[in-house]
Amino acid sequence: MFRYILLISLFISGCTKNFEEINTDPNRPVSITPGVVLPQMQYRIVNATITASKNFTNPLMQVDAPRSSPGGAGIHRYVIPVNAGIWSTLYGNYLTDIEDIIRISESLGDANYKAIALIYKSWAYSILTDLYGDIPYTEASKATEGILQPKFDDQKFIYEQLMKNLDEAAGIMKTNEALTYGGDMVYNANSVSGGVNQGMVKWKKFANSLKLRLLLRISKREGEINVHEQINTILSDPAQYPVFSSNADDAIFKYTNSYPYFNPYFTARQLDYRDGDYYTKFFIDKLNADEDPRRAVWAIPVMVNGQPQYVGIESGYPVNVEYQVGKNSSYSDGLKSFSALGIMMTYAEVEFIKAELALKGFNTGKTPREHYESGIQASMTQWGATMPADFLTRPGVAYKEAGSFEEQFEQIMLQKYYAYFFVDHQSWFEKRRTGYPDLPRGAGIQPENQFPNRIPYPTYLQSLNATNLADAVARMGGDNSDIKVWWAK
Amino acid sequence: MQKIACLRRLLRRNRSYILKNLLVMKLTALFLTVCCFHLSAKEVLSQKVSFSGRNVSIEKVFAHVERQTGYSFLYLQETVADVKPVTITVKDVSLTEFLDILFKNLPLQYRIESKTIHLTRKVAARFTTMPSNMAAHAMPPPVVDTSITIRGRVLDESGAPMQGVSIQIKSSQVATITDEAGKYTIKANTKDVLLFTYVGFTPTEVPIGNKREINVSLRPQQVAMEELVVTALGIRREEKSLGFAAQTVKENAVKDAKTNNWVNSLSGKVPGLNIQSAGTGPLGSSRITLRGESSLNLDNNQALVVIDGVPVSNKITGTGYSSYLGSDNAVDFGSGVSDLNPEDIESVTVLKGPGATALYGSRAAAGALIITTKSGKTGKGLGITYSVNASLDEVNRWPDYQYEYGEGRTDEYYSYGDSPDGPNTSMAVAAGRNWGPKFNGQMYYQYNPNDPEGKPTERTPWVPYKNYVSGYFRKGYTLSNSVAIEGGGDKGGARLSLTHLKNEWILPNTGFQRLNAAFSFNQKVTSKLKINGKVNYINKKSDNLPSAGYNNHTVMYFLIAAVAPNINPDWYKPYWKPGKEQVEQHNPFNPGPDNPFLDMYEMLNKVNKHGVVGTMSATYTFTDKLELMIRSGLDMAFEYRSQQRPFSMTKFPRGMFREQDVFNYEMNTDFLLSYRTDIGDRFRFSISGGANAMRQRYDFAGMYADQLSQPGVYQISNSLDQAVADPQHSEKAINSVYAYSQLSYKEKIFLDVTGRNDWSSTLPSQNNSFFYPSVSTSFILSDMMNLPTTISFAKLRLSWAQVGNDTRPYQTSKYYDRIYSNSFTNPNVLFNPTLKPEITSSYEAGLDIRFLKNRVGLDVAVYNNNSRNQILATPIDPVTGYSSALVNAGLINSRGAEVVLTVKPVVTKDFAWTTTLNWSTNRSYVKELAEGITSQIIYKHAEGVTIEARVGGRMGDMYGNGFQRSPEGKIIYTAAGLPAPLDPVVKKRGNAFADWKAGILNELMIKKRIRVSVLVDGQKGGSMYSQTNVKNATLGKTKNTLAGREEGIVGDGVVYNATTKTYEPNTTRVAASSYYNNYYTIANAETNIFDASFIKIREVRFEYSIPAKLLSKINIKQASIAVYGRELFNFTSFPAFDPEGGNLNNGTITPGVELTQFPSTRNMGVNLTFKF
Repeated sequence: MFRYILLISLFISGCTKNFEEINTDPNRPVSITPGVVLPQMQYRIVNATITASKNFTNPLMQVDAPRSSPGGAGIHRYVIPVNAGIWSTLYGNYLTDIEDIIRISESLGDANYKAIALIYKSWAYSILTDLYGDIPYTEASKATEGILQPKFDDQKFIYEQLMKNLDEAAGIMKTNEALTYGGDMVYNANSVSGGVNQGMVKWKKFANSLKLRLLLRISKREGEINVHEQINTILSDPAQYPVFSSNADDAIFKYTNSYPYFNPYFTARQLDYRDGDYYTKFFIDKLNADEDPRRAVWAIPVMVNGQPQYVGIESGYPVNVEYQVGKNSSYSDGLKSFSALGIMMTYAEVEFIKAELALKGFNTGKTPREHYESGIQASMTQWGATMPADFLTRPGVAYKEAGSFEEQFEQIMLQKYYAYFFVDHQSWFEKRRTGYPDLPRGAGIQPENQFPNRIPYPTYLQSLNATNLADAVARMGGDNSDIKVWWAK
Repeated sequence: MQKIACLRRLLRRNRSYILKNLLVMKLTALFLTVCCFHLSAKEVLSQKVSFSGRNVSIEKVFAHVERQTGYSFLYLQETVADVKPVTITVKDVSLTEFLDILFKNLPLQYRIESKTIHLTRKVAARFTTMPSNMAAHAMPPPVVDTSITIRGRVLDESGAPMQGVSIQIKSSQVATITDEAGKYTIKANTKDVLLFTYVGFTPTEVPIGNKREINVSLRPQQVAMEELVVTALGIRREEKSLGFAAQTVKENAVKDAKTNNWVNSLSGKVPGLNIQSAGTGPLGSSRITLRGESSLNLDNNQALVVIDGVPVSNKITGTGYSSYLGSDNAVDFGSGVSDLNPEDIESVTVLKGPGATALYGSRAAAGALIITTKSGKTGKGLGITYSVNASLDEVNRWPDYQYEYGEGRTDEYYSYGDSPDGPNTSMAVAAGRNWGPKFNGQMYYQYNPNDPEGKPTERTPWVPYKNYVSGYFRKGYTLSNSVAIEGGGDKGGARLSLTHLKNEWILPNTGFQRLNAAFSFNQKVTSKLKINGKVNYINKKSDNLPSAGYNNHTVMYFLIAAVAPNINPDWYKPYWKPGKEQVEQHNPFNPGPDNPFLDMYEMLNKVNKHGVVGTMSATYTFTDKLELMIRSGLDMAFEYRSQQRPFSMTKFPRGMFREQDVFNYEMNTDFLLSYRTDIGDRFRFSISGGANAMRQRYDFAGMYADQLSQPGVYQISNSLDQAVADPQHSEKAINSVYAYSQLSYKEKIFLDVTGRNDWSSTLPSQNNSFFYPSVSTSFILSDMMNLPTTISFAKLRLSWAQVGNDTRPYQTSKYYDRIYSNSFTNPNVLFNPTLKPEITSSYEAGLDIRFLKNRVGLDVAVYNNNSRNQILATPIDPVTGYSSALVNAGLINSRGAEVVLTVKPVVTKDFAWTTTLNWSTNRSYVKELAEGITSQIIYKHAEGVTIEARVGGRMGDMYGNGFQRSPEGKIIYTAAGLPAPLDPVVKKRGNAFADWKAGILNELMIKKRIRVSVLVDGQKGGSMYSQTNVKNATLGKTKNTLAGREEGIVGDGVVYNATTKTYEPNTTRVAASSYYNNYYTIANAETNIFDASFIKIREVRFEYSIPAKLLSKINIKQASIAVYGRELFNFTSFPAFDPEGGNLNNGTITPGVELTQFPSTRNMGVNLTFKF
C-alpha cells in the first residue's frame, strides 16, 4: 500500500508545477509604462515638499510659530529635531520612481519621459543636498543592484551632476512629440497641438530656470565651477535656453480637488491645521504695513475690538508664553483647497533671480527694478491676488533704485522670501546664501542655539550605513546644524 | 478489528464473567472511536451474506459472517456449548435473513445492536433445555411462579437517565438493559442480587430482598486515563499515549457563559493559552496565542484553528490602515472563528506545541485549537434540545473620572462664547480641557440648548453631570435561541441545529445578528464504507459596527478628547444644525472630534456575511488492519461591507461611501491510509500515510467614493469624483505528504514518529519543499515501576519537533504597487527571490502525576522553542529605494512552563467539589536578528512608544522616552518648574507580555442538581501604554489630576544650577494644568506605561437541574436553568478600562498599546435548556 503513497507523493510534488503561476500576483504588474508612474510621483513629491515647507521652513523662517512651545525646544528656537528632513521620503518613495521612469523610458526610447524625470531628479537632489550637504547620489536607489549601503558623494560633484542632468534633459527633449503614455499632471505635455508640445516647451523652461537657481545657489564657488559663464550662457540665448517668462510657465502641481489629488491639508481639522500655529509678527506685520493683498489669501483675520485684523505672534518666544486660541491669525481655510499649492518653482522666483543677477551686473536685458516688480506681480498672480495699482509705489514696496547695493539686495531678497511661501526650503537656503531676510532673534532662544546651516543626517544611518556616514561626516567636518555646506563656505 | 477479536478470545477463555459481553461491546465502540473511523453507522438489510458448509461448527459460521459483514457476535461460550455443527447453504441473503435461517432450529436468538450481534438462548430454552454444562453449576432450578418483577431507573451522577446500563441477575445470565429513560424491568427472585454495570462506571450490586423498585445512581470510575483526545488531523488518541501537552475543554467551557466571540470564554481555562482582545466592539475579535511569541511577525504567532478537520481563518480583515488619527479607521468585523456557534461545539482541544502539531506542517508552528462540533450519535434515538440565553452587558469598570472641575484652560471663570463675564473659555478654546473652575454651584454663561447656536442668554448653575461619559452608553442585550435535533438509528446519526443571536451593544445603534445552522450526519453505507459530513452555515449581519481606535470616526476618541463634566450628553443629541440636516453637523464644544451621535447614527459600518464551513469524509475498511480515509473540507465566506460618512464629518467634509466585497475560500483535500497490527503480545504498531492539497483564495473588491455628490445618499453612483476601485486578490497553495507511526509496548511506553513534507506556492521553487519531523514518547511510570501507593498514576512525556512557516504570497519577485486608482509606484519592501521557510524546533517535557486515587492531579509541562530563519522585513537604508528587505534571519528562543493542578477535596454522593488551578509562564528572547540589525520594530505608536525586538531583549519589550534624571535619579526640572524636555535616549519601559498568568476554577456539585462554578484568573506583570490615560490626564479628566488644582504644584525633582554645577531641589510652583500636561505628555512612555497585572472574576455560574419526575409528566427529559456572569469584576491598577488587550490596526491586534479601547463589559445572563 505504501506504493500508493509513494505514487501519490510523486504526483503531489509534480503538482507544484503551477505554483509559480499561483504565486504570481494578479493585482500588481511586473512592468509598467512611465505614464502610470509619473502622475502619482508628481502629486506625492509636492505633497512632501509643501508639507516640509509648512512644518519646517515656516517656523524656522518666522512665517509662523506654534501657539505654545513648552520645554524650550522648537524649530522657531533653532532647535532642529532629529530626523527632521525629508530624506527618507524623497529617497525612499520618489527617487526610485524617478529612476524607474528614466530606466523605462530609455528602454522604450521615449526621451521626453526621461527628460521630465531628469528634471525631477535634479530638483529633488538639489533640495536634499542643500539640506544635508554630502549625500548619496551615484549609488542611491540601487537596492535591486545589490547596493544596500550606498556611499555619499560630495556636494560639488552632485551639483555638477544635477546641472549635467538638466542640460541633458533640455537637450534630449522633443518639443514636437507627445508623451506616448500620457500622465503629466504639471504641464499636461501629453499631447501635441499645432506641431508643438507646449507642455514640453515648459519643461524645457523649467530645466533652464532650475539650472539658473542652482547656479545662483553656488555662485560663491565661482572659480571651482564656471558659474558666471554658465549663467551668461543661459541669459544670452533665450531661444536656446528659454526660462520661465510668465505665470503660465510656473512649475506648480495643481491639485484638482477630486480624489486622490487633494492637497495635504484638504481634510485637515481646524485643530491641527490652524489652532496650533499662528503667523509671526515678522511675517504678518510687513503684509499689514504694505496692505499686501496676498495677506487675505494666506491668513485668517481675527476680531480685535470688533474689527477683523491680521495679528501675528512672536517667534522664539520664552518658554512660559502660551498664545490664546483664536486671537491670532493663522492659515486661511481657503488654502486647504487651494489648487496651485503644489509649488516647485515659479516665474516669480526667476524674476527675483534675474533681479539679483541684474543687480550684480549680469546682462539680463532689464533693470533690477523691472525684474523686482515683475517678481512681485508674478507672485500676486500666482496666489490669485489682485495687485492694487499703487502697490509698487507703496513705501515698503517701492524699489529703492537709489539705495546701496545691500539695500537693493535686501529688498529683492525680502520679496523673494514672500514669493517663496510654500516653496519647500528655498527661503531658508537663500537666507543661508545671502543672509536675507534679516530675521529678529526671539527672546526665548537659548544663547547657544544658532540659526541652522543644515540638518543633521538621519540617525538611522548610524546603524544602517555607518561606514559611509562616517566618511561623509569626516569630509564635512562634523554632523551638526552649524556646519556649512560646500556652496555656503 | 484485531483488538475486538483479541478481546473476544480473551473473553471466551474466561467463562465465569458473563457480563464481559457488554463490556466488550462498549470497549469495541470505544476502540472504534479511537481509530477515528466513526464506525457508528450500521446496515443490516443491505448486508449480503453467502455461506455454504456442511457440519460446520457454529463458531466457524460466526467467524465467516464476521468477515463478510464486519459485524461481531457476542455471546457466552455456554450459550452455544451444546449447539451441534450445522449444515447451511445460502447466497446473497441479508444478514437478518441469514440469521433467521441459521437459528431457526437452534436454541438461540439474536439481537443486533450497534454493530454487534448478541446471542442468547431462546427464552423457552432456558427452562426446558438447560445446557448440560449449565446444569453443572448446580443452580437451583428457577421457579417461574416465585419470580417477581423488579422495576427501576438508573441515573448518572447528575441525575440524567442512563441508557444501555446492563442489569444482570448475579450468577445467572438473565440480563436486561435500560431504555432511553434509564428504565428497566427484570424478573427475578427475592434472593437474587442485581448487578448494574456500564463502561466507565463502578459496578453496583443491589440485593432484591422485598424491594420491587430499585433505583440506582451509577458513579463514574476514577479512571481518567482512558480519555480520548483529538489530535492533529483529527486523530483520536488515548490521552496516556500522548507525548506532548494537549488539553481538552468540553462544550460547557464555551457555552455555559456565552460571549459574542466564544473564543474569549477560553480565557483562564487553559495554561499557556493567551487570548487578547482589543476592546473593539460587539464582535470582540481576539488574538489567540499559545506559549508566547516565537515569531517576529506577530500575525505568525496566532494559533491555527481547525474545525472538524478544516483549518479556518482567524484573520481579521480590516478596512482601516491606521487607527491613530487617520482618515481611515479600524472596524472589527469578526473572523471565521468568532462566528462559530458555541452551541455546536462539542470540544476544543488545545495542542500547544510543535510536538502536537507537526502533522499540520507549516501552518501550526504556533500551536492549534482543534474544534470538534457536535454530531448525531448512533443508537441514541431522537433528541431535541432547545436552549434560550439572554444576557445583558454593562460597563464593568470606568477610569477614575473627576467631577469637581469643569471645562476650561484656567480656573478663573467659565463662559460659553464671549459674554459679560469675559471672553470665551469654552469650545475651541478649551478643546476638551477640564482645568476650569471648581463646581461650587456658582452661575456662569453656559451652553444654551434652546438656542440654535447655543448662545447663553442668562447665567445657569455650574454643576457637573455625573453621566458626562457614561451617558453615551446604554446596557447591551444579547438574546440567543437555539434548537438542536439529533437522532441516531442503527445505521448512523444526524444532527441539525439552528441558532439565532441578536446583540444590541453598549453603544447605541450598534450590534449585530447572527444565524448559525449546523448539520452533520454519519452513515455506514456498507459494512466497509462510512461517510460523514458536517456543514456549518453562518449569516452575520450588522447595520452598524462601531469604529475603533484613536481617530475622528470613533466615539471613544470623542469621549477622551472632548467631554467635560459640565457638558450634558443630551446637548449633543441634535447632531445636525437646525435646517442643515445631512449637511452640517452640530458640534458645540471641542471642534476636533465629531459629534458622537453623528458617529453612532450616521457614520455606519455595515456588514453582511454568509459563510460555510463544511467537511465530507469517507472511510473505507479494507481489512481489520487497513483503512483509507478521504476527506475534503471547505471554509468559504462572502462578506459585503460598507462604510458611510455624512457630509461635514471632519475627515470627509463631503461625506464618503465605501464598499467592499470580501471573498475567502480555503479548500483542503486529504487522504489517509492507515495500517495497524500487533507484533507479538507486547507491541502494537500502526503506520499511516497521507497527503493534503490546500488551496486558498482571497478576493477583495473595494469601491471608494470619498466625496459624495448629494448628501445622505450612500451609493457608489453618488460619487462626486470618479469612484475608485481597489481590487485585491491572492491565492496560495500547499501540497503535503505526511506519515506517522505509533509503537507501543505493553501499553506502558508509547512512541510516535511523524513526518510531513510541504510544498508551498509562496516560496521560490528551489526552496519551496520542506520537511517537518517530530518524535514524541510517553512513559506510564506507574505501570513501569512500583511507585508509592499514594501515586495512582504517573506519566512522563518527552517530545521533539520541528515545524516551519511559509510566508504570504507574492513576496519573491518585484511588483509595482498600485496607488490611487490608476498609478503605480515602487514597493517599499525589497522582494527576495531566495526566501526559505521559517523553522521552529521545539523540545517539550511533561509529567502527569495523580495522587490519592486521582483525587489530586498535577500536570507540568516545560518547553523550549527556537525559531530561526524568520521571514521578516528588516530595515534597510531608504536611500537604496526600499525601506526594508525581506530576509530569512533572526532567532527567537521561547521557553516556558505550564502547570495544571486538580484537586477534589470533597467527593461524596451529595456534594462534589473540584478545584482546578492552572498557571503558565513564558519568556521569548531575541537571540539574533538580521546581520547588522540590532532592533526590529514590531509596532510603533505615532508618538509615544515602540514595541521592539532588540538582540538580547525579550519579545514585547517596549521602548520610549522618559524624564531626564539627575545622577541621583531625580526628575530634572527646568527653571520654569516643569519637567525638562524628555531624555532623548529611548529606553526600555516595560514588556507587553505577562510574567505569568493563572486561573483557578472551582466547581461544586450539590445533590446532583446544583452545579456551581467560579473562575477567577489573572496575570502578573506585563505592561501597557495607555492612550486613554494620556488624554484623560493631560486634559484633566481623571482624579489623578486633582492634587494641586487650587494651590499649584511644586514638582518633585531637581533643577540644574549652571553656576554651581549642581542639582538643587525644584522650588518653582506651577499651575496644575501645565504640570499634568507636561508630566503625562504623550511622548512620555515612562508615565503612560502601566502595570497590566489584573485579577478578574471571569466566570460565575449557578445551574439547577429540574428533577426528572417533575418533567416526565410534560414529556421533557431534562431541563435546567442557569444564571451566570462573566467578567464581573476586574481588579487592576490600570487607568483605562482593561489591561488585557491591545489595539486593532488593519486586522492585526497588537498587544501592549491601548488606543482608546471601548469600555470592558460585565455580562450577566440566564440560560434555560430543555431536552425532549
